[in-house]
Amino acid sequence: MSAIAIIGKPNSGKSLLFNKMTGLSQKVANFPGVTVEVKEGKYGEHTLIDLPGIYTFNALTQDEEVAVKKFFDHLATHKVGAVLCVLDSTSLKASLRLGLEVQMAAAKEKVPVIFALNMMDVLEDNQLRMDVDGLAKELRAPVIPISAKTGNGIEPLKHILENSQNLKPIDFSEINFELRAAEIQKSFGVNADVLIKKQTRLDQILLSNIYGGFFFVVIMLVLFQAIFTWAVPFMDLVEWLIEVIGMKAASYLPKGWLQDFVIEAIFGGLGSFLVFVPQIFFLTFIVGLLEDSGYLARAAIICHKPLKFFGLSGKSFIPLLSGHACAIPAIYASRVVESPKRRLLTVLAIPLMGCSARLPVYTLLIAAFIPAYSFLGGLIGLQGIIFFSLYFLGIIVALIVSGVLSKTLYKTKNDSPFILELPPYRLPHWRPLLKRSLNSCHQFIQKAGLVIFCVTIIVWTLGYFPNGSGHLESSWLAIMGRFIEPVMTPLGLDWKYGIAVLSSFVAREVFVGTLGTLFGIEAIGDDISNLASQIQNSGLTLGSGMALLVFYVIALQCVSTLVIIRRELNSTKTAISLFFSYGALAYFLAWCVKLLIP
Amino acid sequence: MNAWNLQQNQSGKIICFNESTKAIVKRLEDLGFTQGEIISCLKYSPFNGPRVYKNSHGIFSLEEEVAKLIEVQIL
Repeated sequence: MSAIAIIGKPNSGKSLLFNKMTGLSQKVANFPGVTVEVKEGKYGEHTLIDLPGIYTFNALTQDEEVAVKKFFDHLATHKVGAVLCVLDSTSLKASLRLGLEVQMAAAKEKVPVIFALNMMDVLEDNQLRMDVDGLAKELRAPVIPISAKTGNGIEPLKHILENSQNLKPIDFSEINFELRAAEIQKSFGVNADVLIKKQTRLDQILLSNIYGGFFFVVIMLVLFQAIFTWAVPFMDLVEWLIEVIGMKAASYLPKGWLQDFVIEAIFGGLGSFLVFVPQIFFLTFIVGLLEDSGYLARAAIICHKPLKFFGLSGKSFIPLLSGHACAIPAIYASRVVESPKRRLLTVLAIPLMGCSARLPVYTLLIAAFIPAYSFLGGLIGLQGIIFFSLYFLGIIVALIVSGVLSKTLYKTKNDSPFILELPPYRLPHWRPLLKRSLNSCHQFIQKAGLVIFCVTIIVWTLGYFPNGSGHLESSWLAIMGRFIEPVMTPLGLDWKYGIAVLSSFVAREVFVGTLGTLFGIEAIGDDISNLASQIQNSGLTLGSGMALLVFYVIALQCVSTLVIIRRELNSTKTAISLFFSYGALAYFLAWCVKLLIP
Repeated sequence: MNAWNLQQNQSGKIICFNESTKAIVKRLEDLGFTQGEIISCLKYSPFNGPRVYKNSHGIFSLEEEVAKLIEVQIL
C-alpha cells in the first residue's frame, strides 16, 4: 500500500490527527511551526507522512522548505498514493488558499486529494454550522468533518483513506487561489467574528501595555517555582523509594565489594540522579501548558522588541524557552525563525538556557549552600529564587553573547522581518500533554541513564581499588584527580570536584552521579540531602560552590547538543569554537565569582 | 499612510506595498495582505513591539518594519 501525505497550514491540527491515527506521540502545540521535521508513522497498512505546516508553496523558513521539497518529491516519485489536506474550519479561506494549490499540484501527478475539515468541535461549541456537502461538491473531492481533538469523524476519514485508490484524480486548470478561496469562503465558510472577539478579549489583558509584562513575569516565576518548590514532595517520594529498594537489595547481598558496589555505585550514583525526574516532569508539563494554551505566541510578541535589540527575534523565544527542557529539540525548533542571522544567533544562545540536565547540579549545590527559608506560607522559597537567578544568569549571558555576535561577527548576514500568525486561545489537550511530559521523563532517564551508569561504574572502580571502601584518598582515581587538580585550585575545588566536572563533559547530570559515587565510597549516602551535607562537610566554601554553579550555567557540557549544532549549522568549526568559547567564559566567570565571594 | 499608523480598532484598505524585497511582499500576500483587502489593527503590544492585525485569513502580528510596507487608506 502506498503512503499518504498529510499537509496543511501551520497550526491546523495535522500532527494531532497524525498522532490519533498512528498512535504515535509526535509533539503538538498551539502555535504555528511546531512540526519542523517530516515524520512517518504506520496506520494499518498505510504509511502516513506528516509534513511541517506551510501557508503556500512559496517557502520562507527552513521547515517550510523541507515540507515543500518533500511534498513535490513524493508526488513526482509517486511515493504517495493520496494526499490528506487538513483544513481549519475556523479559518477556511486561509486553509483553502493552500488546499487549492495542493489540489492543483496533486492533479498534475494524478494523485487524489482528500480534505479533513478539522476543528469542527470549535464550530459546534459556538453554534456555527457549515455546508460540508456543498463544500465537497465545490472542491470535487471528499471533505470529511473531523475533530482531531475529540476524535470525532476520524473513523469515516479512515474509511475514505482505505479506499482512496478508488478516487479519481481531477482536472485542474490555472486559477487565482486567493480569489477562488475567497469565493468558497463566502459561500460555505462561517463568520468567525465570534471566535476572534473571544480571542481579542484575552489579548486586551495579556498583551496590555500595563499588565502584559506583569503577567509574563508572573507566568515565568510560576514556572521556576513549580520546578523547585512544588516538585519537592514528589522528589522526596522518589528518594524514599530509592532508599527502601537500596536497603532491601543490599540486605540480600554478602558483605564485600559487591554490596559496596550496589550501595555506592548503583544507589549512590544512579539513584541520586533519578531523584530529579519529578522536576523534569513539572518543567515539561508547564512549558507544554503554555504552548497548548496559545500563550507562547503572545509571549513571543512581548519579547520581540527586547530580543531584537540583542540580534534575536520574538520567534526565538519559543526555542529559547524549550531549551529550558532540552537543547536538542530547541535547536530543531529554531527552524521557525525566518531570518538566517537570527536563527544562527538563536542556536548559539540555546546552550546557555538552563536545560533539565543542569537541574540536578543546581539542586544539589543550592541544597548544599542556600538555606531553605520560605515566604508566603511556603509558596515562595529562597532556594527557588536562587534557582530562578541561575536561569536568569544563563538568559543574560545568552543575550550578551548574541548582542555582541550580531554587532561583530554576524553583522552582514541577511535579515528577515517578524510576521507571526496568532493562534486562538485553547484549553490544553490534557492526555497528549501528560503523555508528552511522561515521555520526556522517560527520554531523560533513557538518554542519561546509560551514560551515568557507565561513568558511575568507571568512577566507582577507580575510586574503590586498590584499597577498598574508606580509602578514596589512596585510590587510582585520587592519583588521576591530583593530576588535574592545579586547574581546579584557582576555583577552590579539590581533585574530587575536578573528576566530577571532567566526567560531566559527557553530560552535565553525570556530575551528581559522580559525586554521589565518590562520597558514597567514603561514607554511605544515597540521598540528595545526605550528599549536600557531605559537600558542606568536605570544606567547600560558599565562593567555590557559587563558582561551580556559574561554571555550570555557561559551560557547554553536552556531546549530543554539540553534534546537533554541527548538523543544523553544517559547521564543525562553529560547534568546536562554541565548546571552547563557552568553556573558557565559564571558567573565567567562575574564577571571578571565587575572587568576589570568600 | 501605512498599517503601522492605524490606531487600535481602526481599519484600512490595502492600496499597495512600499518598496521591499519580493519575498516579504509575497509572504504578506500569501497571508491575505493583498491589494483591496481590509485590515484592522486589533492591539498595540508592550515595549512598542509588533502590533496585532486582522484580515480575512486570520490574526497576525507584524513588526514595525513590515507594517510600514503596507500602504492603507483609512476607512
